[in-house]
Amino acid sequence: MKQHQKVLLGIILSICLVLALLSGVIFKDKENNNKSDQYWKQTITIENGKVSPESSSIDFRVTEDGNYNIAYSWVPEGTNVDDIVNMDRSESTFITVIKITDKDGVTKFSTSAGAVNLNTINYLEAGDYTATYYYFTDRDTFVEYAKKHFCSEDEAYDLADFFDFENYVKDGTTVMNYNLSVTGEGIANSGSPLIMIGAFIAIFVITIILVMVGKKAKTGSLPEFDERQEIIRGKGFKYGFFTILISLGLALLLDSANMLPMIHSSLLYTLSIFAGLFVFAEYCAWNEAYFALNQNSNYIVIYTSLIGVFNLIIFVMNVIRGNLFENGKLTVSFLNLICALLFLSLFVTCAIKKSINAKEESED
Amino acid sequence: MKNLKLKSARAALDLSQQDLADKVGVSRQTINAIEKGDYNPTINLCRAICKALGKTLDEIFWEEE
Repeated sequence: MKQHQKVLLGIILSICLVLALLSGVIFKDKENNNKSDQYWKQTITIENGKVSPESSSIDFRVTEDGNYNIAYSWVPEGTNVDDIVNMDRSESTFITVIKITDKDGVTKFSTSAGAVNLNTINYLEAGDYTATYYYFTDRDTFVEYAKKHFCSEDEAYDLADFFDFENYVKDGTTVMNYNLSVTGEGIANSGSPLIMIGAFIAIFVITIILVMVGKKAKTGSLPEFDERQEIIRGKGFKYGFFTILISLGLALLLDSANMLPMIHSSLLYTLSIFAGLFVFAEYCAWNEAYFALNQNSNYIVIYTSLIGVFNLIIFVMNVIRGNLFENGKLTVSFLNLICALLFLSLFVTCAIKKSINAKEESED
Repeated sequence: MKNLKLKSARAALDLSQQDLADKVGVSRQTINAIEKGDYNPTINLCRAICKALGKTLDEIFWEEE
């Protein structure tokens, strides 16, 4: 590669790195501070099995497009709202189904199981919405509503059987305390993914260039290792394999005993595979059997180091955005850091060996 | 055990480890490992080295008692 081509490549690479890094800062997700919390009472009477009113509704407004956590609950007056999780639907003596519609009457969300409390995350566009609560005390009315709004006729009959209207609908008057809370969950910015896609396309193009100019094949395109390297690689595969076995066993033990509740199981098992990869790569790299005779090690090290740096950038961005933990558990986003460490450790090992080799060659 | 015969035969021809490795078709580190005594080459590699240095197997690889 000529000198000016190297400089151009370096400039393109630097721009991609800076863009990828800045995209997380410039285009970070906007906060959505929309929140509405409404409480109200509704008196519901059941006489001769007929419910009155048959429905009630309440309006709310969202001012920005985004994801919203919609939380519903209703408890009979006199019941502590903290006891809601222990309540059974039969305690209300009628079934409540909620439907959220926009100003054009289009349904955005609908419940079907008659739960007394629910949390759901839905994407809502800015505008006015109505949450309508429908009350059912008889099977046929419920089936008509269900098959019209959210399920097939067979499913509607199955649900009606499940609710067992005949046995728990009771005449009487109930005052229900309702709560509807709509809280913004954050608005994803469309700019950031575009920047990242652009950066990755650039990396792909640069990779192609590196592969095309970096290869110095002597006798063909397959990697060729000498006899000593083959032996070392065989040992490396063996050590890596047993590392995976041992770490998987350890992961199984820790996961089944729930000794690491702060780590997702999928992450734990994936870490075992990375442990094996690390052992293989480091053993081969340290014993100078990682790169084939017909491979340009410098370009491969640069390329893998770039991958490591990009993974590090993505990890840092995930930390800034708070994506590293979900419900108190470490997520698979942590793997970006592990990838970065894997690739960058290869770079460090190769750099150290290169320094040692240079010293040996000078003493030769 | 170090293979000083190999090192001196190579030096006599003013070849670096890399030069000999390229002639024989192995990595420089393999030649280094053989000279240091860290690796015992196969008979095929021994023959290739001897051919590259213009020596016999006894002259390079026979162990003195």
